[in-house]
Amino acid sequence: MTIPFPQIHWAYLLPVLLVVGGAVFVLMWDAFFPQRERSFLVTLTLAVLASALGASLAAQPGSEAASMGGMYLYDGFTRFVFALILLSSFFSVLLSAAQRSLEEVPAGDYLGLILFATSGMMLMAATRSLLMVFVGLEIFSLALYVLAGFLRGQPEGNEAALKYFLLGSFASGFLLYGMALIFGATGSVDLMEIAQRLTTSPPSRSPAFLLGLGFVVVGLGFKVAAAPFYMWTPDVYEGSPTAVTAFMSVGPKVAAFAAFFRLLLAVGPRAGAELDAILWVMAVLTMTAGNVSAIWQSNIKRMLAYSSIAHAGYILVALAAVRRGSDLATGSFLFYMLVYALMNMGAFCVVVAAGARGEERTRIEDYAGLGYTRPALAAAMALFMVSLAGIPPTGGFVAKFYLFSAAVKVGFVWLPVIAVLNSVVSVSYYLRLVVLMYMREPGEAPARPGLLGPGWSYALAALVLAAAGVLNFGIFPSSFFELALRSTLLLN
Amino acid sequence: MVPLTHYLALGAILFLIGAAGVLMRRNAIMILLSIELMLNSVNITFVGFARQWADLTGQVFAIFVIAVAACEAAVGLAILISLNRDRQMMNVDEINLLKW
Amino acid sequence: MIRYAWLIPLFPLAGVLINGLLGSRVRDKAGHVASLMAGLSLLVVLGIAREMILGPGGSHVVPVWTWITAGSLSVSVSFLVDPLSTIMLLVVAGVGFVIHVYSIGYMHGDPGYPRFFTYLNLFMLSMLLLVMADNYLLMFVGWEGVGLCSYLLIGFWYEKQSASDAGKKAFIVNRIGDAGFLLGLFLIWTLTGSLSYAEVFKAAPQLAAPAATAIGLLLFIGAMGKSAQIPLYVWLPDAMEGPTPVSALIHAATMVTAGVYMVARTSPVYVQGPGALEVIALVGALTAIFSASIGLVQNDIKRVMAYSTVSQLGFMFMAMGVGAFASGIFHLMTHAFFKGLLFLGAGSVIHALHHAPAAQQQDMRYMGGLRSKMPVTYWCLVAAALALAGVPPFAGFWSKDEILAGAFFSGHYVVWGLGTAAALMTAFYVFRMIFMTFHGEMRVDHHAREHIRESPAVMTVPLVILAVLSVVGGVLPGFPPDAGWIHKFLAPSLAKAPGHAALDEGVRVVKAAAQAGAQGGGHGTAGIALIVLAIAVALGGIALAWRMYLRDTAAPARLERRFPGLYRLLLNKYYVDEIYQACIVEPIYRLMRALFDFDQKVVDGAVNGSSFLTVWFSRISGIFDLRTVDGAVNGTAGVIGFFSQLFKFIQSGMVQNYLFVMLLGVFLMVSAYLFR
Repeated sequence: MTIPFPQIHWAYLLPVLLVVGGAVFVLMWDAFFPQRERSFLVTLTLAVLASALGASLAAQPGSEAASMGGMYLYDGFTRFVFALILLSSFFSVLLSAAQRSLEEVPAGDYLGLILFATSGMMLMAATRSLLMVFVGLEIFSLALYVLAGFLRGQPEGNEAALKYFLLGSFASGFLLYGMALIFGATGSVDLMEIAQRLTTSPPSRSPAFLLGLGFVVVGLGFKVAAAPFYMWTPDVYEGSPTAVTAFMSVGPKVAAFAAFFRLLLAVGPRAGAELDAILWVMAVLTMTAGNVSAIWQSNIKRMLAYSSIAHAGYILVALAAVRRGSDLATGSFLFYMLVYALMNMGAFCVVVAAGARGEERTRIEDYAGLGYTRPALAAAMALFMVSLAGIPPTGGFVAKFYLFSAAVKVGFVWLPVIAVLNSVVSVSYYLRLVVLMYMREPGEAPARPGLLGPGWSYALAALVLAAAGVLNFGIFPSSFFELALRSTLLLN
Repeated sequence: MVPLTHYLALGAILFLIGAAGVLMRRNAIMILLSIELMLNSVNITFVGFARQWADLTGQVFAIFVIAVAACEAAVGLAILISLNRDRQMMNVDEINLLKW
Repeated sequence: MIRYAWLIPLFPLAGVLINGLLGSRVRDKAGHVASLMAGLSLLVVLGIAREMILGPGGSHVVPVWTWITAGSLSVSVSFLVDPLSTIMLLVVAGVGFVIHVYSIGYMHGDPGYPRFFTYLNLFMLSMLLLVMADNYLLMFVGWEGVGLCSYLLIGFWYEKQSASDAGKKAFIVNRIGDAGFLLGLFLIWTLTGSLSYAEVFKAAPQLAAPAATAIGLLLFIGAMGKSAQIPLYVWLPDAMEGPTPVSALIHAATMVTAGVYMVARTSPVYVQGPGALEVIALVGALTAIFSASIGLVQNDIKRVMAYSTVSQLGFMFMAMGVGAFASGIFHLMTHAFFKGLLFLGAGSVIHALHHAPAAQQQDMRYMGGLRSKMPVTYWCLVAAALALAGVPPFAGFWSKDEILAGAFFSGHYVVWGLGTAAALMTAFYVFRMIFMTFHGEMRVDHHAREHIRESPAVMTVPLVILAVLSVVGGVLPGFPPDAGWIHKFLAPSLAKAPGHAALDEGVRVVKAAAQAGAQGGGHGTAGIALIVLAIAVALGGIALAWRMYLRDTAAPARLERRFPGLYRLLLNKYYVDEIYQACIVEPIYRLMRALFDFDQKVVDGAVNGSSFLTVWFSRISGIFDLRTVDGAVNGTAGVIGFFSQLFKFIQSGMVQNYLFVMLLGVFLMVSAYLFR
């Protein structure tokens, strides 16, 4: 018996290979040459990410999208999601390099883990197979569990890691059980085949399939921090190093949402109206929980955590629209994620940059008067807050507009209304920070906390990149939205 | 020959026991073990379905799950050790620095 | 020239960038930079207006770039130049420029000088966008922008607690309005498939009446917030905590009229849903009389003006509601002149009194007799007051009279009655202000007396400019009533209210009468009667104020004694703030308090004990070895009603509580599937 060698499109695989190879290299380099300058590894990691980005942008998805029997799928959607993930990793490496408290950690381990996590996210987003979804998810989750507790001296970091680990594994159990049930009901773990079997011999009403789908939704819902599976988010975001928090707030969400989209695109239309109701309730609960809780926060990382929950709620609106078969929704999801990545990374970057050696500025109160002590930093923060709040002319507004209008297009009435009301509520806590920065005398904080160290150039690069992006996508969004929309063409 | 329902029932019961253990055990190591139980119940389910469909995919999946479960145990224990060194405790209900 | 309309918002944008980024470098030149930019903008506006007015007019769209495309929807950043936006541009750029110049003098020496002008230019930019937008989304951009600038400028002197509180209040109230506005936009887009004015108005005639009414009411909620109508007016009087030029520009002349502009702009939709118009007319009339009556007894010079603004905005909405769109815009314009002038004049007075104790600088009881010390300010304010009171031939007379006539001839007799009563009060309170401030004996603090002098030219010249406009700004465009130039000019931009045959009839009558009047005929038609009545009301109010505050100065005290309840009711603004406080703010505060206690006692108790949910859960099962800890169960006894309480409650920090909530979610989800 001969086993045919599966067809492999190396050009399509190259971005992932680069990242994995880079991860191994960085890890090994640090093991063999531990005395080298840290900035060398940072630059190397950035180069790896940039070249992977270049490779994925260069690889035009053709008709032969699937490699290895659908385990690896490279289409326009993958390409866009790769760009998003690599962008967010790029930002988090910049932030890590800028963060003072991460200066002492072994750079090779840390950056290697970031790269491994990145590869996991990429794999999770670029597949048709539930098996790869699971493997990708675990690759990045395991890396993130470790990263969350990377500052071992800090009790908060340890606690965050433990909580993330326990809750994440629990959710993985459900995800797996759901996958097993889906496999049992349809006899396949390939989304395309599952979709085909659902149409030919409809087991779509079988309890095993529905239960399985529900459990998979739980598992993915956990990763995207949807209600009622979001409780880990604020605790973990608060306890992790800020650069890791920034990474967690974007990358895993992109990957999990991408898998969610693929799942819904394949089986959604045949999964019955219950899924509609579930997504509806999830979206409403998620955005409301995020926004209502964010108002009370006094820790900025925690506030941003709740804000990211609220944003996940908005994106769930797009998911609900996708289930009803809207291309616009997928496009607006990609665009939203792009803008969200920039503004969230930007906000975390300000948090990193505002901190000093030894102590971070994590209390919201610490930002009082930042407009006078660090005007540029405060202006950037104000821009990101305004964008997160969805006020024009920033990218956040345009992205929200696309997202909600996609929901309106497919006939949702109350969902976009609730989303709009929610975003109106959210303005209060975002602008509270702006008001604090500009309309309050600076506290007893040192006038110029010394950030003019080596990390400053990294933070500056990240800030400029994010701010330019947020403004650009607010003022000239059309071409990128068209790109996002085109990226969904080859789906299905 | 053992019918499919037996595999599934065993899987489901183990899954529930695992979930209940995760919920109720105080000791973090016991919780870790309960999670392993949940993952293994999934394996049984997968293998059962694989035989039903005469499709190896289910078994392959189970092998992957075993591999991942091993990694997870390693990472989990590492986190626990780090926590234990830091705070000398193993009970999850004493871990609540981070809240609302 | 119209092709260069994009230059208009570009200049203030340049000003924002220069002052905002180089604030520390430009310092004392910030005012000049900002004024220069506002002036350049005004020049372009004047050029365009010249073309529009002397040329054939029409409606021109100046595309800049395509902003958002999504499927069939395409929203572009393009500017609409038509008669309505021309009038608005003239008002915004004109009054804006004048106030920029005035601010150079008024804000001189303030530590936040560059910051102030950055905000002011940002405001100009947003306001210009708002009036020039050719679609609702771009209008919303401006709408949010002016709101943002408004909070920033109200809270400009943030070290004053009252100022930052006022900013917060404005913010919250405007949020309510904005939510309505946004929902209105969504409804428009869902029903017509577009957001650009041209396409929406093309589709408007096909809208069913309920749909149009719904759109109209939602948009009006937005207008109520921005233009301070009942019940969302409460922020505007407090907004006077901001610097006086800000009060003049934003909270009198321009931003607060955005709601009126929006309703006029949307008139083709509104006429399809008459229900919304009725609501607007009634709310406007009620607001007009309600706040005018509060203005009767206020002692703070700026607060009198603030309530007057709310009241005059009520008049404008009254006009919208009765279908007299052009008259409403006309009043918006004249009001910008005379109310801007009133505020700048008040600012001039406050500026002169800045050596008086802080509590007395704005209190009219500590003024009086300033006429001889500040002649220019005095005469300008008199012109403005006559215009506001509605004495011909000053500006306010022409526009206000049209509104009242419009209400009367369209059959809105109640609205007309309320409006006329409000007009009487208006004449009274504005002259009460004049008499208390400038006439009678001087009651200024002795220490501050020798410092009183006329303001510098940079402040008085703007006053004079506005005074001239207050004199001629009504009669030139507005004569003869309801048929003046402004009506002909605006007609292409505005819809005609249907079912207002009576109005047309009335217009004809008034027109005939006015023409007859102009020719010296003066026959006793209804229109003439209304005009005579309006003049009588204005003069009556002035006479009453003269009697009570100049001739028989004991009269107010006597009245106060005779009607102590009414007086206190008015002085305390009908206790609306207190009612809001008791009905809305206090419960929320109590809720927060309860939440806090809840955290302290219950959740901490639970956390200290054990993970309560687990305990709960384990009681049911009882199979496993459990370590229940006391005190925990007691904590769960309370039923949690509120979301926020719930969310905080489950965020206890305990891993197993999170697990339990997750499991609960799974159960709910599964049951949704299986037991549908």
